[in-house]
This record gives sequence, structure tokens and C-alpha cells, in this order.
Amino acid sequence: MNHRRKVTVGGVIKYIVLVLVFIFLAGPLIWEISLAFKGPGDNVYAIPQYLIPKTPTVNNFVEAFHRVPMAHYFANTLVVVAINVLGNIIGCSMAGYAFGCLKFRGRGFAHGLFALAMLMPTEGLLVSTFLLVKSMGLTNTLFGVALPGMVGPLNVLLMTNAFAAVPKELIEAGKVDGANKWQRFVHICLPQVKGTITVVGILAFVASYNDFLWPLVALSDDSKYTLTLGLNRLQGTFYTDPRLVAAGACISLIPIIVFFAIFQRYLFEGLQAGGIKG
Amino acid sequence: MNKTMKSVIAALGAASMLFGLGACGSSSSSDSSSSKTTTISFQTWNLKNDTYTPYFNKLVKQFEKQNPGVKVKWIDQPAENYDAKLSTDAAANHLPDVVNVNEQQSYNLAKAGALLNLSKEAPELAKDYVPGVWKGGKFKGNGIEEGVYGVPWYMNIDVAYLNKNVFQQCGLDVANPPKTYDDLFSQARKLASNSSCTGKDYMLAVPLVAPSDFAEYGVKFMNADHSKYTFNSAKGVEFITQIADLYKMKAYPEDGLNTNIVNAEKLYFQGNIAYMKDSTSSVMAFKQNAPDLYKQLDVAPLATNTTNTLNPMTFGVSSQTKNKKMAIKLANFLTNKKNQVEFSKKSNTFPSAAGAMDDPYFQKLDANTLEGKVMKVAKQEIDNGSVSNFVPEVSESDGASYLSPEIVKAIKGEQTPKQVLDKAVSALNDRLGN
Amino acid sequence: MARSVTQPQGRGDARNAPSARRHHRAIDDDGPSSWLFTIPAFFILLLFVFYPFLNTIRLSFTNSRMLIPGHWVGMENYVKLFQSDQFWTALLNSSLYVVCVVPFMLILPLILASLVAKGPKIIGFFRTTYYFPVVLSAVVIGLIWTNLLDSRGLINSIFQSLHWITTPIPFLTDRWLTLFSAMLVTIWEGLGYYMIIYLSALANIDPSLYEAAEIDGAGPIRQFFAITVPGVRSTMTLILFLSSASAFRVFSEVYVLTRGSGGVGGEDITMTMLIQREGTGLSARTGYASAISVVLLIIVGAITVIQQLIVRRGDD
Repeated sequence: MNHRRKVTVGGVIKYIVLVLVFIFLAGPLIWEISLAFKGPGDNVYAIPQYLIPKTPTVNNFVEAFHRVPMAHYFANTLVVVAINVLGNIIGCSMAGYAFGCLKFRGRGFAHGLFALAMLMPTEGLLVSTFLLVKSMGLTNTLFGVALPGMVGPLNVLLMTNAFAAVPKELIEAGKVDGANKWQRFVHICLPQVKGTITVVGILAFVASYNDFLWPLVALSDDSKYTLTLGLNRLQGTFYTDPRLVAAGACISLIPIIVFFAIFQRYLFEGLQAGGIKG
Repeated sequence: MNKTMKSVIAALGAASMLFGLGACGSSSSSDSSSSKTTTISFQTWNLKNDTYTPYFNKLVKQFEKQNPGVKVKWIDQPAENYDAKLSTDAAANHLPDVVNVNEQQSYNLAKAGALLNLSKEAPELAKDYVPGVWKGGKFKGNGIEEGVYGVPWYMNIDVAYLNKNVFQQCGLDVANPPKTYDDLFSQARKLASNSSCTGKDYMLAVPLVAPSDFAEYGVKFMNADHSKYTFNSAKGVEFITQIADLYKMKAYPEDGLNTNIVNAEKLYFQGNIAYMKDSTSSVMAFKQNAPDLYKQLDVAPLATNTTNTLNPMTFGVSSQTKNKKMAIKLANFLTNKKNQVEFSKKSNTFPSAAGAMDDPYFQKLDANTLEGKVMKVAKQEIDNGSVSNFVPEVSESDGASYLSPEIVKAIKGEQTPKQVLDKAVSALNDRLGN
Repeated sequence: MARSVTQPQGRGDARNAPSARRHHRAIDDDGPSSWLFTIPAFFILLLFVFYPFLNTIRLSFTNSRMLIPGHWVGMENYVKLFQSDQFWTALLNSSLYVVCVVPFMLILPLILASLVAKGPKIIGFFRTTYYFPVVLSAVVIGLIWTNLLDSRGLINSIFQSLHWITTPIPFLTDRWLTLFSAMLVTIWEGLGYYMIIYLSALANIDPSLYEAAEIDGAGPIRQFFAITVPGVRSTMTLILFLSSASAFRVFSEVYVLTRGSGGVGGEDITMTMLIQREGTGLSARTGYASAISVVLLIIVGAITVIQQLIVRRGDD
């Protein structure tokens, strides 16, 4: 595509819209960031509110790092996130391929079950889940934290939708060449859905990265804590410094934004990227 | 780079699984097979930080030294969702041997048989604690075996923080703070009718709708055998009628109708609330987060028609513990006089161990600073306080969140106080019965 | 480009999905071994969703508490539920949420996605920042938005200093405004979330279609409706399903804006908040909360079936 177009009215409007949306979506975050940089001389509850700290400081960040063993908890989080991202990519791709590209008896029913699973309210399932994981001997392990989230029904539906868009002619051509189901999955269909795989990876990353309640219940030893759990230590029992909590929140945002910034370009690897050789 | 990263992550994952599994296997076997050393675990609630970690590590070492063959494991849980953690652990018979719980948590665990009845298992402990606090912590009725289910620990006392500026500007005398609910209500009316204050400053941040407010007003919240709620009595109606009137006069803000005090609390920090109920330990937060407010503050005992409400933290002992005797001993050790005094000094709270308040620290509080004055006031409250002011069948926060939707209807004049209280009583009675 | 050799029309996901759906019943081309591909996903789901939910259904007919097992009480929980005012309030709020939020979730993220789909580096910056709200935890979102919306919040102070209003707008205390504020937060979070799903679908639209349209002189708006929207049809159907289900089950936005109270007098409570309130904590009424869960599933299921029927009728 040609990026070097001349300035047009449409182009200007587009950028105005982009900036307005930017202010709406990213603007509210500025308050949190400003709070994180406020020092002891700043009245956190001042009226009118102000964004530029009067006594700017990075002490809140230093203190947060001092109080919470960030590197250790971040490593734990990475393990959980890695299991979940890989689990979702593999498990949901396979199921999505079966539902989107294969024809077999019971497919509609099976696919319906995933849709049903997606609708089920999971709020009341905490105790059952814990008892299950405990019976497997996996409480207080990072694998136990990751296990229930390894396949999200939502991600299966997304993958199914993506696989259903793979041109049937490609698959037929594979069949003619004598490729079996597994070969067609790996060599023909999978390269066609890289964009959606990226979406699934990002969604799985965010979900397991931010989860608080389940890791809290599943883990009892704080050497296994994930970052979200660890950052909760910034809240005091008897009093809480909102600046410190804000600093912790800002720190925890960085990895997730970096992850997104790196992988977002793969979102566009759709059908044209794979293609048929020859 | 990418590939190595991936393999590192994979290896980490695999290693952690093995580790986790291994750890799990070994800990359970050491519990049952080798009888030489016993491990006793105790759990605190969000106390792992620079202030308290050295304290607890020291106690662990001391206890292990005094009791050869015993290993103590300290677990600390983060601030949020502690109830969820306790309930899943209890449902899975997975509670630590000794567990830090508040009165409400203790009550529910006790009712489910998850905690030991200490009145039965270790009645001799009673003498180690302030008699009122020990006896006040007794649960009874409603399917629970009568007894004390946890050794009392620290008390975080609520006091009334008075905003001197607001008192003065709105025609009140800060040297003469409200002592009873009648005082409180009449001063609130005076403040609200002062034209320079109406709609800007408020007496209270939120309407008083928690179970302890009823109790302090003199409403009997529950009947004697704890089988029925009784706060829809004439006294209860009188109380809510006054609360509703105060709203019409703007003695507390509309934001305050949201029981969970988000915005109302902010009004307080911004210096527009005359009389704020908050804990002694909050004074540190005021100093740090709202320095302007801190300078305006004075402090007084909370107004009450009866007594002040004390709500001690406790250490309960799990009924599933493998070493009952040692677990009780540990709970008692954690809350002995010396250890409680040291903890209270660190946290601006109060000890419940017998004789702990005679410590020079509590005798020589410096009333020239707000911090010292707050502690002095709290001490007065403890002398006049009682633990069993409200029944633990419903917690303060649960109570408030169940009561307030109904009471708001009375406050807004949509229904009469009698109607809403009848409804609230029958809803709560329904929750009581099985 | 290589791919156009074999098939000229099958690229937009719109055509394939429905046709595949129509034929699947009769054909077993790939044989029962196809099931093997679904095993990992089914394994996790059976274990952590279906099995626990069957337990929920059983509990809904008992008077169990969190820590105290109950006994069979038949339909008592359901009767109690249908008699409670709170249930009907929650049902109304959750339904309103679907009606008000879903249209925004269908259209706006698609517009955003097509604005940031391609272009210079700066577009990548916008794309990343648009995703910010999605990665924030509920607690932080609550802090940020209560601070913006409360009676002395940033928005009210700006409006007051501009003399647009004299008394603060009760964003968080008015029964309806609280709900609308929560919807605003939901949309704020959902834009980036659904944007990335649309982005991956946009990649499947044949770029030559746009080139041809440009040559024909079609402007960006006409291109959007003539090419983009039809090109992402099946994704739009999916997002209709996803966003309706999550709108009906809205929890965290209302919860954090009202700090769990469900608004003044609890009038902004939603179905999921009701489940959470009754079903968590040490004294939770597990049986009663389970009944709410079952009712919620039935309602969301009904909404979905109706939507899918309408969408399919439109396809034919």
C-alpha cells in the first residue's frame, strides 16, 4: 500500500478522530500515572484536582520494588502466562480446526457445547474448581494456577470462525495431494489463521496476567505468587498509600503493553500471508 | 533469541510443576509419618511487610526454641478477597492450624465446625485476656455450640475524627463534641441549618445503618437466643426516622447513600465532613495522604447511647489440626501480653491481653500530638466498650449492604421506616434459617 | 498474488461459515477421528466448566451454605428468587445493558479497526494505546472512573468551571446515570477488545477489492459499507454473540463504580452481582446463588438462540 499520500481532508479528519479516540481511551490513565509520581507533599484529595505533581518523585516506584520482589513474582507470572498462552493457542486451534474445517458427525452438537460453556456463569464455581485442583495434587503449584484457563471457550469460538474462513479450495487441494487431517491442519490451515492465533494469544495473556482471585485461592505459599497477587501487598492493613498502589499498577502495565506492542503486527497475518504455493 | 526464550519458559514451566508437586508430596508425608518434628502453620492477614515481617520471624524463632521439635510456618494472605480464600480453604479442609480472623469470619467458620471451641478445649486461657473481651467473644444460639472460638488479638478501635474548621464555621463547639446520639443529631441539625454550610459541609459522611449503629443507639438487634432479628422495634423505627430526617436537612450528602462510602470518604478528605468515624490507625493515613486535613483534625470518643463497639481480631484454631495442643499453645503465644504490646505499638492498635494496657506506653500517651490524643480517646472507649454490641450473625459490612437498600427507601421518603425495617428483618430472618 | 489462482470468491469469511454450517449435518467426510482434535479443549472444559456447573444445577435445589451442606428443597430457591424485587431489578438492569451496549460493540470497534488497520508507524502507536483499557485491572478501572465521575470528580469540576452546570451531575448516585456510567466504562474497555478481533478479520478481506473500489471512485464511507462490513460478517455475528453474553453478565464495571453496593439503594445491581453477593463469602447461600446462575444461563441461552435465528434468517 502507498503510505505516502498527500494531505487530504479525509486524512485530516481521520487523524482528528484518531486523536479524539486516543484522548478518550488513554486519557483516563494519565490520572493514575500522575498519582504514581506524586510525593508526600501532594494532597491526593485536593480540590480542584491537579495532574502535575507538586513534589514529583520516583520514590513510589522505588518503594514498590523494595516491598515486592517484582522479578521473582514476574517470573512466576511468566510461567503461568506461558502455559496459558500455549495451551490456548494449541487447544483452541485444534478444536477450531475440527469445527471450522472438518466435517464429522456431531460437529454441530460439539460446537454448541462450547458456545454453551461460554455462556455459563463461572462466578459460583470457585470452590468446585479448587476441590478439583486439590484432588489432582496441584494446589500451590503454578501449573495448578494455569490449568483451568488453558482453554477458553471464547477462544475456541474465535478459532472456529477463523478456520471456517480458510478457502475450501485450499483444503481440497491438500486432500488431492494426499495430505491427512493433521498435515492439512499444520501445513495448510494453520498458516492461514495466524492473525486470529495472535488475538487468542493476546486475550489469553491478558486474562491470565490480570487474574487475582483464582491464583489467590490456588496458591498458599507466597514464593509462588504471581505479580498481581504480589502487588496487592502494596495495600496496607491499617492504612494504604494510594500513590504506592498507583505506582504498582503502572509497573504491572508495562510488560503487558510491551507484549501487545510486539505482537500486534501479527494481527494482520491473514489469508494473504499464507497463500498457496504454486 | 525467540527460540531460547521459549525453551527457557518451557523449562521453567516444567521445573515449577515438578517442584510444586514435589513440595506438595513431601509436606503431607512429613505431617503424617515422621512424628519427630511437627509443623504448625499460622496465617495472618496482610501483615507481611517491613514493619511486621521481622516481628513475626522473631516470634517464630522464639516459639521454636521454647518448643523443641516444633516447626512453625508463617503464612500471610494479601488484603483482598480474604473471605474467598478462607471459605475455599475451609471447604477443602485446608485451613492453616492457627488462623487470623475477625469476629464475622470466626463466627461462620465456627458454625461450620471448622474452628475449635476454646471454652471447651482450653478454658484456662480465659485468664490471659481482658475478661470483657474474652467473654464478649462468646458465640451462642442458632446451631452453634456456645463458646469462645478464638483467642483475642489486637483491637482496631474506631474514634470520631472532628474537623475543627467545619465545627467552627458552622457554629458548633469542637470542645463540646457529641456524646450521645441525641447530641449528634441535634448538632447535625444545627450544622445543616447554618446557611453558610448547608449543602457544602456535612455532619456525617454516610447515614448510620450498620448493625453497630443500631446497637449503639440502643436498638436491640436480635432476640436473646439469636433466632430472630428484632430491630424493627419501636426504638428501631425511631432511629431510622431520625436518620431519614437528617437526610432531608442535608446533614449528610447524597453521595453518602452509596453505603460503601466512595465519594463520601472523599468529601471527608477534602475537609467537608465534621464528624467522621474511622479507626485509630487511620491517623497515619491522614497525615500522609491528606496533610491539609490532618492539621484541621481533633478527636473525640464516638457518640453512643449504650457502649462503644469493640471488634477484636482473633486467632482461631482449626478443628482439623493434627496437633491441637501445640496449635492452641501457638495461638496463645502470639497473643500473649508482651507480644501484643509490641504489635500494638507498631500498628497504633490496642492489645486484648490481660494487663497489657498497664504497659507504660499506654499510660504515658502524649496528648499533644493528634496521634497520641487519638490513642487516649480510644483507651477511654475501651474502658466503656463491649465486644458483643452487635451479633455476629450478620457482619458490619454485610449488615450495611443488606440494610441500606431498604433504608434508602425510607430516607428518600418512598416508604415509611416501619415498612422498610419489617422488610429488612424478614429478609435477614430468611437468611438465618436453613 | 498466489492465492487468487484457485478461488476468486471464497475469501470474505461471510460466505464460507454459513454454507459450511448448512451442510454439516449430512456429511461425515472426515470421519469420527476428527473428534481427536477437540480432545484437549473438551478435557479442560469438562473438568472446569461442565462438571462444576452440573454441581451448580444440583445445588440450586438444595439449601446449601458455603460451609454447611444442605438438603433437597425442590424449587424453593427458584420461587424465592422470582418473588424477590432484587431479582427483577437485576434482570431489568442486565437486559438494558445488552440493549444499550451491544450496538456500540458491533459498530464502533469495527470503525476503529479500519482506521488503524494500516498506515505509517504512528498508526501502530494508536493501535497500541487503544488497547490500554483492556489490560487494566478492574480495581484500577474503578479508581480511575470514580475519580472522573463522582460529584467532585474531574468531569464535574470541568463542567462547573466552564459554567455549563451549577450543581454536579450525579453520575454515580442517580439510579439511571449510574447504569449509563457503567455502560460508558464497558464501551471504553470493549472498544480495544473487539477492535483486535476485527483487525484479524479485516486481514482476510482481499485488498484488491478496495483498490477496485478506489478506481471506481468510492469514498472511504462507501468502501466501509460495501466491502468492510460484508467482509467481516461472520465475525460480526460472533461479536454479537460474545458482546451480548458479556453485557448480560456485566459485573466488574457496576461493581467497581459503586464499590460493590450496586448503587444507591442497590438499584443498579446486575444478575452477576447478585450471584456474587449471594454466592461468595463465608456465609454464602450457595443453593440460592446456584439457582440464580441457572436462571442466568437459561436467559443468556434464550437471548443467543433468538439472535442466531434472526441472523440466519437474514443470511438466507
